[in-house]
Amino acid sequence: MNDLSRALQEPWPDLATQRTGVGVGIWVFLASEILFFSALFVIYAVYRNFNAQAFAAAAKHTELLYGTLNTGLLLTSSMTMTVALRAASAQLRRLTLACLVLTILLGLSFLLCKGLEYHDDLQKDLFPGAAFPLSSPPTQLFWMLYWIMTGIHAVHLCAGIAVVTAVAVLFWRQIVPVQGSTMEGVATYWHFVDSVWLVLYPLLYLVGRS
Amino acid sequence: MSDARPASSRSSAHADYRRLLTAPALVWLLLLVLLAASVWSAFIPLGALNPTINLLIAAVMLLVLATFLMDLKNASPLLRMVAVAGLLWVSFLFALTFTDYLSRRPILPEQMAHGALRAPALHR
Amino acid sequence: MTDMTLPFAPVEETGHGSYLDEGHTLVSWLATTDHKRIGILYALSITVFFFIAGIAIGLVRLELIEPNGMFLTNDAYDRLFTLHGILMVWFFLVPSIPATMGNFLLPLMIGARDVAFPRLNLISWYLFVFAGGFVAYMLISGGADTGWTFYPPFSTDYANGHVIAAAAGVFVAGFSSIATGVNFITTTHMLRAPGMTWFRLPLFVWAIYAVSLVMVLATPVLAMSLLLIIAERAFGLPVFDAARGGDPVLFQHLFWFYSHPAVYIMILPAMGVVSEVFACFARRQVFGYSFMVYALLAIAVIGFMVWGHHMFVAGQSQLATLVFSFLTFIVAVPSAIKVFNWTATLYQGQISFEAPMLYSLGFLGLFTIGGLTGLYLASGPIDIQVHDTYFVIAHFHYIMVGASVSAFMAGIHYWWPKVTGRMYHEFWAQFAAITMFLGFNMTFMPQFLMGWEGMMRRYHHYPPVFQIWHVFSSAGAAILAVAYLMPLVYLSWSLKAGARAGNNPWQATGLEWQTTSPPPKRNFTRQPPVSSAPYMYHETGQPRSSDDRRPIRPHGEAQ
Repeated sequence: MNDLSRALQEPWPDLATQRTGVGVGIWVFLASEILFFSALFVIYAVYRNFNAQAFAAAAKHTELLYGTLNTGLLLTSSMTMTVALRAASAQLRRLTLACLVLTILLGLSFLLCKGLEYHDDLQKDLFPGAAFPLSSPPTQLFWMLYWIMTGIHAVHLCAGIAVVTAVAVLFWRQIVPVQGSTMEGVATYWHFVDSVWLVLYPLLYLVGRS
Repeated sequence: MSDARPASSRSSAHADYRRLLTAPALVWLLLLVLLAASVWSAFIPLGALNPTINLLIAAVMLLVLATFLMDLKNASPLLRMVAVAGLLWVSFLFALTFTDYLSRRPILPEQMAHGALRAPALHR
Repeated sequence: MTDMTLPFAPVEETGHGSYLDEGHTLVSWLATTDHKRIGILYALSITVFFFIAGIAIGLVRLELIEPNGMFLTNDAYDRLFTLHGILMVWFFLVPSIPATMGNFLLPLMIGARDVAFPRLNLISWYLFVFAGGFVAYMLISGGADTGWTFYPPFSTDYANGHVIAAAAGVFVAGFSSIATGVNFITTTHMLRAPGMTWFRLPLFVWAIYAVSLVMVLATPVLAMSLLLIIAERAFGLPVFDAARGGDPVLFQHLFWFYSHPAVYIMILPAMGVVSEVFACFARRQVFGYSFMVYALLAIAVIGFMVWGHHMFVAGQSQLATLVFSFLTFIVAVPSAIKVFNWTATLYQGQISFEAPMLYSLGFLGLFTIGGLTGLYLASGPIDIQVHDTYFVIAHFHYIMVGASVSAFMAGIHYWWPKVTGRMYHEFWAQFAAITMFLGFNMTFMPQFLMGWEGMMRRYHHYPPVFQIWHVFSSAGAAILAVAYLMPLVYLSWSLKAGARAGNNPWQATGLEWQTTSPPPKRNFTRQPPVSSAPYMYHETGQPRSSDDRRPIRPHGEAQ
């Protein structure tokens, strides 16, 4: 029995069209995600434009080490995801699974670091509110953006980890063949989550360092 | 799926693996170098150039990621158009929002004091 | 002449059941991935929300009969018009034509078996229902009082109502929209039958495609802006808080970045429907098909660049006001092109006045009035005078109700035989259409006049000089309510007792008419051949021959 026959779904006429179709669907969804995050970027841009000094003063307190480490983790996870995708296209099931597991572990490591970083931030009372340590009010705008931007990114990363885990299980149990259309969609989404972080990182961690 | 394969195919499997790993690994190294450059430049006092350089490097990293890891260079024109469309619409959001914010004139205390902001008298 | 297949190719009898016969249990409906059943699920859901929102505004119109109010407190009044706005915008109008008729018809019209992602389609409906759950919670616990626009700082700091529940409901409904949009865009690109090139697509398909672009690109910004309102209200984060350097007007920029294109979400599918109906019931090709396509796309794109016309008095800069005003005048041009082209489509046609045509003609006139008054509002000085008055309310109701709801009704009646396999009772449908037109104008025309004279919106205590207009408007609303209830009656009745419809009771062009009424589960028994332009009701360049007196047979037999 041809493995691929399980990969073809209604209403697609053939697997090639299905693959392209999944790609189109994922990218259209990513276009909407780009706009979702861009609303935050616009707010950041407007507030920073009018409060440059306050932003610089506020951003000094972000943890550069955690942020840079996290960027490295995500970049590595994008690499492992790419290898997984290439392995899937070459029908190398074990390699695909291994890389997916690595990707999941790297994603979880990111979340762990983020959690530790959030803990440190809260220790320093860097959540806008009564106990906020910085005196100039617009510094709270920066930190509001920090929490919201990294928080929403983390939610997207969790969703990505969940999807990758589910897909890995489907591949492992051979419910879905690796060379179907699933890997491309998953990989594209993962790279997108990484891309968002690549924009967040300089906005949050590299401001006011000089 | 059994892993028992003849020796010859195992060595070609190694060649497979190397082929699969090389390009992504090189891209990964490039991205890490760019990351290092971005961090390094942040510590040099360049005034308004700092955020510009950081964002520019981020843009390059995004381009590298999109082109080589997301495989946009081999994707159909439709996918590339979708990606561009998302960014184009973001430009609408930024451009028109900033048309407002960059042209706002601040209300100065003197204007308030002299009553310049009172509504004009209605003529009927 | 290039070779063409007959536009009315007969379909062989198959002996298989229709999509309605594939399972009669509740589970077969709730777990379906059939786009046709999902379209019906949406139709039922939005009808419920429509009537709840209608009751809310009925209470408002009742209250407004007296200048000092009758039975509502200020707070209750606020919550009622907020409920009306939220439900009508996000739980009726935005999904209306796309999620019901778009879902049912898009695959049929392009010759596909289903949409690209059938399970995502079902998920989008569940998201919609889940969102409705939040709104139901909000409703039962007393409502939100911010208006459908959620402006801070009122919504974040001062409002006493259930703002978070309302915002959360809209947030989730937004993702239903996005899922639908992703599905439709992918379907249109990837699943067209062989021979169905882009410029052979019916205008309804183009309209659904254009609206999907808007849904996908605009809704995320709304989602984020509402998330931020929730963040500020629930966690005290200073997002739009002026005391800490934030700007409430920034919320308005983000809100209207979505909500202006949202009104195009509400009108583009309506335009698609009436193009289909005009062509069929005037027996004419649509005049200027390619310009109609470009106009749809132009509205979809330029519609993203005009949102600041909602903010002329909000505190944005004068330059922004000028820019947005200018762009708003520009966006009217493609709409005007469409109105001219519909008119030209009717010219020299053989017009018959079945209910779909009556509703579409109503659309044409009411959309023109709504659109022209929109031009008034695009002008800065005029808008400053009439902003937040009933003039604005009348303007957008002429478009959203006069145009969009009329087109929705036109589509429901036009495709009713295809969806259900039954004909509705034509006389009562025509009666309801005319009643709706009269009731609508009686409700909203006075609102232009009183708005111009200064009657402010969202107030239930007003100067007695406006009372006569309010009474007139409320009386019209009562007539409108009756007109909306009538289709519930005769359409339900037709399900049991209506004449059975053949494949093509209207003798219309389009692939959906070349399969059975109702269609089989996978739409077509064999892939329909496509090799002609749409709307081939007559040879291009010539009016329909006077010999060709083939009438439309509304009580058509199976063909």
